[in-house]
Amino acid sequence: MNDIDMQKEALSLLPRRLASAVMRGASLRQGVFNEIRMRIGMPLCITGRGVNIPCGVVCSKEDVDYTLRALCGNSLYSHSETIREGYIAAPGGIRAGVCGRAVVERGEIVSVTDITSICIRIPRRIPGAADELYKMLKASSFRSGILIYSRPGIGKTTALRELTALLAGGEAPLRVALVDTRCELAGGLGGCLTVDVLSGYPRSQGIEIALRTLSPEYIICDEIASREDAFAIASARASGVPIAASAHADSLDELLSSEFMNVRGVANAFDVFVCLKSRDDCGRYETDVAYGVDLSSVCAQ
Amino acid sequence: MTAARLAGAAILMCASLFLSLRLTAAKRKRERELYEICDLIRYVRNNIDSFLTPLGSIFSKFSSPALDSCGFVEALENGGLSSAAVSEGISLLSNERRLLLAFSEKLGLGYRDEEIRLCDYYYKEFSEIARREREENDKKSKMYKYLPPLAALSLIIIFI
Repeated sequence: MNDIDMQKEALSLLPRRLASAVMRGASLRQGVFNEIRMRIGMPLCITGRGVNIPCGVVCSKEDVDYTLRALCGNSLYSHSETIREGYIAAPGGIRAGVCGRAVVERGEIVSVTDITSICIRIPRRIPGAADELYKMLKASSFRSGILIYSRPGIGKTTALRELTALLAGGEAPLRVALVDTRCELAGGLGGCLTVDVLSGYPRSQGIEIALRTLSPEYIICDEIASREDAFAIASARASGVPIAASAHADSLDELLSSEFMNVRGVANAFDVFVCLKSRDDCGRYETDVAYGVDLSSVCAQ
Repeated sequence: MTAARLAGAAILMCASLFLSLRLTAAKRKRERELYEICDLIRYVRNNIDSFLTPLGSIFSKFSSPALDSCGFVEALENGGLSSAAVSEGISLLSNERRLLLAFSEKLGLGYRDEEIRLCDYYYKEFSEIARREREENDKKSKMYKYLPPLAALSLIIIFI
């Protein structure tokens, strides 16, 4: 699916009057948008090239319910687990963040009802966005692990997606295992023949299964955040398979102070740390690169 | 003249037998359709309970002889339960159609436990309708079989 198809797919999830409003709003930004935000009683808003554009129509409860049904394929129950975690993975790699009223039992969210906000994120292919990252890995004969970090919305997922396409493409494609926990990383990667997509698997289990059953030459996963993820990554690296992953952090200090970075073995799992600072209209990133960061000071166990 | 009378009597008898067969078949078809709607509801329930399968996939895999032949399954695949409920081929009464439409409107809006309870409720409703239909058919089957030929015979005796 190309970007236009993705946008059409996203618009098909909206009631007709909202879809028209999005088209009108997007025309102000040369038709480019990658997020659609709906909140009950508030104006519909789209985000294109980092700019938020109100579309001038107010979302009703019926609009949100309609979109929710469309996102779930009229089967809310089949997405109950992911709704509990705050998102719905729709076909084509489109992911929608949802929030409403959480029902909590013994400190755990058991379900979410009365959904009031939906943020539809449209995955984009930006060929060339990961060229620099690919060169870094190629220089080490694809033996280096790479951790991409930035604040939300800069394009970590896009960078990983493009990196996957490069690693699994070209003249000597690698066997890549893509652990797509939130079902948004693999969107638009239909043409890559040597990518095994573990869609919806919990990250740590996905990495473990990929290692045991798929004999990957490279593992890619998105948004590591827990100690379990870090243990799985350390274990994969100890097995000799490099990993490319992403994490939320605005600086290297913030990244190193996160809980998962305290896990023993993570120090060796990543050889390159790339901070995505911003991205221009052509998809080129402004980056900060750190090689072989000494993590011994933060490794507690 | 006699030959014409005999031919008329034969035609009358054939028509009455045909009517009798059609009437019996129609009642049995309706009964089968009602039981297969129960099967559909149970199939939906089991798929939701065991696999959380989305409705689109459930409907696309469902198959049953009586509902297939009346076009219900095709409508189910193409437009979901709401369009299947109003499909013309199926011999549902208007209150049964309303019941099926009400089920289709609520189906898919809740989490697993709610959906299972919903399926159980409508399964019970349709099972009851199907059971009543079967009882009625059993009671009236002799009437459907014999009444038209007997009526034809009496007409023949009176007029010929």
